[in-house]
Amino acid sequence: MAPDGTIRPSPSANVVNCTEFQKLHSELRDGRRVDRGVERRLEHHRRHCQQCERRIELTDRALDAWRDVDVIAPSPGFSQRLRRRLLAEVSIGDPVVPTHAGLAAAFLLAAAVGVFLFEGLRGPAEEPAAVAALDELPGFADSTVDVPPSELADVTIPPFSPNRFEFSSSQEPLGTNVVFAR
Amino acid sequence: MNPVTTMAARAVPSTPVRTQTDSEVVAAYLAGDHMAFDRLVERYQRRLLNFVYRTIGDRERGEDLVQEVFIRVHRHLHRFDQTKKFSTWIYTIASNLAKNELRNRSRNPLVLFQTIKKHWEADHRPLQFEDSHYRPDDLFRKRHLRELVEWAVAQLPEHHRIVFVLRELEGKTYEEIAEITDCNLGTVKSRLNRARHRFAQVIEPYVD
Repeated sequence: MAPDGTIRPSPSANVVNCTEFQKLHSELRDGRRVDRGVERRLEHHRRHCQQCERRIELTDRALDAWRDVDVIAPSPGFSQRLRRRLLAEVSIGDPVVPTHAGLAAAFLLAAAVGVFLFEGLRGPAEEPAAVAALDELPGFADSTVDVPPSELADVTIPPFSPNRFEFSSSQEPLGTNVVFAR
Repeated sequence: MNPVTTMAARAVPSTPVRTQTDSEVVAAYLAGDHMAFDRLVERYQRRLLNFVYRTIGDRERGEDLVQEVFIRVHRHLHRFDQTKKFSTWIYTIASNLAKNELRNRSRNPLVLFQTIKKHWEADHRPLQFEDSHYRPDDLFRKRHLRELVEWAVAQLPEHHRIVFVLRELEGKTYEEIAEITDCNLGTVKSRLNRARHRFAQVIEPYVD
């Protein structure tokens, strides 16, 4: 295509073939600017190619028939139905519910960001300082707590005996009494 | 009505309603003139219905889709860029809905069957409802050709069909079609050329 928008054939194309004809003719019939030389070649091709000539004639006839079809009109209830839908649309769109939801979402998002920032700034600064302060206490760093886990775990509940104190809650069902052995 | 919008509505130059351009009607609506939306509906309902109907081939569904177009226009009109052409914008919405409809239909065999059945039932309408200026055999030939064309159009791939209908029936320019279908000019030319070629191929064996 030339810079001015007109269509020109390739330099070697003195004769337009059927494929080229269809493409160029499609634009020509739509009023697109076609180089004068191309137009002459298209006319020449059309005069000598019965197949293309027939195809154009058939297409034009068919399209004319299609365009001749009466324009259809909307059904009588169309406007009323549309009005109802528009009213429904307005009544759904107006309430403040979406606004509240939006505000709530924005508030939650802001709170989440705030918590994230607060934790991000506070967390790494405090812990090492507290540990260092404990380490500086005399004898703290070397001290260890030695509790044998077996002793802690060796707690048994002896069987029921009437010589023991019993605490029971009147609100609890029977069988859930707490028993402390002496 | 909000007093601010009422005043704004009064401030719009009082061009006679019938001669108002689309842009003026849109501006009037956005300024608070609620009747302006009715004027947009009045202007476009028939054109859009014919466009959608000839693209999807189902009148009843076409009406539903055109209603949906107006609902969307109503919902998004405040976001419409008023430097652009309103008709291109509304056709873009209609074209997208028609395209979705065709895609859904191709995925749903039941919908496709119902459409075919509806067409088949429509074939049995008596001829007297047609134009009485034609003789019965002319009417028959005319109707036959029309149905043939509608069938041939239905054979086109969806993206070719929309371009074809926009050009052949709506008379849109290549530039408008490019904007409506969100394609470049080269694609529009190529699709139109292919659609015409395919249309001629389909129809050729049936027309003497």
